[in-house]
Amino acid sequence: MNNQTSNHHDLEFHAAYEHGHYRIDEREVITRLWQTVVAQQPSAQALTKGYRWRSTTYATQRIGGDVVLIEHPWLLLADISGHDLTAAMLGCMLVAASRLALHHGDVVSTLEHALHHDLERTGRFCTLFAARFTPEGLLEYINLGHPPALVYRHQTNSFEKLEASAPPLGVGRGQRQSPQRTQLLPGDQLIVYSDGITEAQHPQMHDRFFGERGLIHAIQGSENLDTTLANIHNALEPWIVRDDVTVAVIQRT
Amino acid sequence: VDIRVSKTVARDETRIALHGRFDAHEIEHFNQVTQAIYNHLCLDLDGVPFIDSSGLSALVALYRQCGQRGLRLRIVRLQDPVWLILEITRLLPVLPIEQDTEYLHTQGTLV
Repeated sequence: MNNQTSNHHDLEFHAAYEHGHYRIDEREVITRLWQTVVAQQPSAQALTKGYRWRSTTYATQRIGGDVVLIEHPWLLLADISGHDLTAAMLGCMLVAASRLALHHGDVVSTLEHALHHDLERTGRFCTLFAARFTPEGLLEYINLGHPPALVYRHQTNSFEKLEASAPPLGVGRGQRQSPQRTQLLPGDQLIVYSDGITEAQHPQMHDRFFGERGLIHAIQGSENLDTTLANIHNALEPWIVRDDVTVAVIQRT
Repeated sequence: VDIRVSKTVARDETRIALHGRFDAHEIEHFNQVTQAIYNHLCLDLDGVPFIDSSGLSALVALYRQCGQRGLRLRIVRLQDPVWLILEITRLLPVLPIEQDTEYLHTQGTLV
């Protein structure tokens, strides 16, 4: 009887151990996959001739929902809702689908075709800003539910907001509009960011957020993309960041 | 977020009132509460000063689920910061946001 009980407990223990063990391994596998496919995008990837770019990402957990991708002549920054394993796996799918979409140029319809149903079925959506740069300074962009990207014109110390024209991917399929355009002059910078920045909370007054105003204030006066990134980083430092933060800055040289 | 559930008989709907930040940490609780209700829903966001993208996607998913179950969803009493986020993300025309005139009448604050 004692042996039987002991064997029974052993079996239960092994089943539980193996179950737990595999769960841990699966999580680790997905995390590593996300870190390889999404987080470790080549930082030296060339954009269009006549532009410099840099990006920085800070994930609040080991995995996140932000994606930055350079596929000449395109830059894409996307944010999948959530920062869990589902967001990480959808992020991997987004990178693969985006490479194809950017390569073929028909970004919105390709991404919708590839991802809409999976986003919908998992109860997620994906905000997205994609921009194409020409050597002559023409910037063509698509903004699907993403925070407005900013064009900072240092010569006039002025900002242009590139706002969303349609809801995020995974919501309201087929409501898309044509890409929009603006012109970048030499020295102008495009700042694309995820909502983790604007939603950063004041350390004392919790109903105050860094906001677009904080971002604009940090960028003003920055002569190049390196100082822009440093100024944003410094301005954000005392604030409480609760979501993934990604910033990409592109400057026409 | 503190989720309060109360039933409004007049419109044959269950009113769910949320209080506090509605972000990624609250989604599981929110989904548990909403999935257990088999009635028309009125989501009262008067107590929500902030919503992040996880909260927004939970609203979109709830709206979709209600449609699949043949239930009506109304989202009412949005604070300005929440309204602004819905505007920025272009989700305002997608979600069933209504002015809750009936509630305002009962509160005596309709102007």
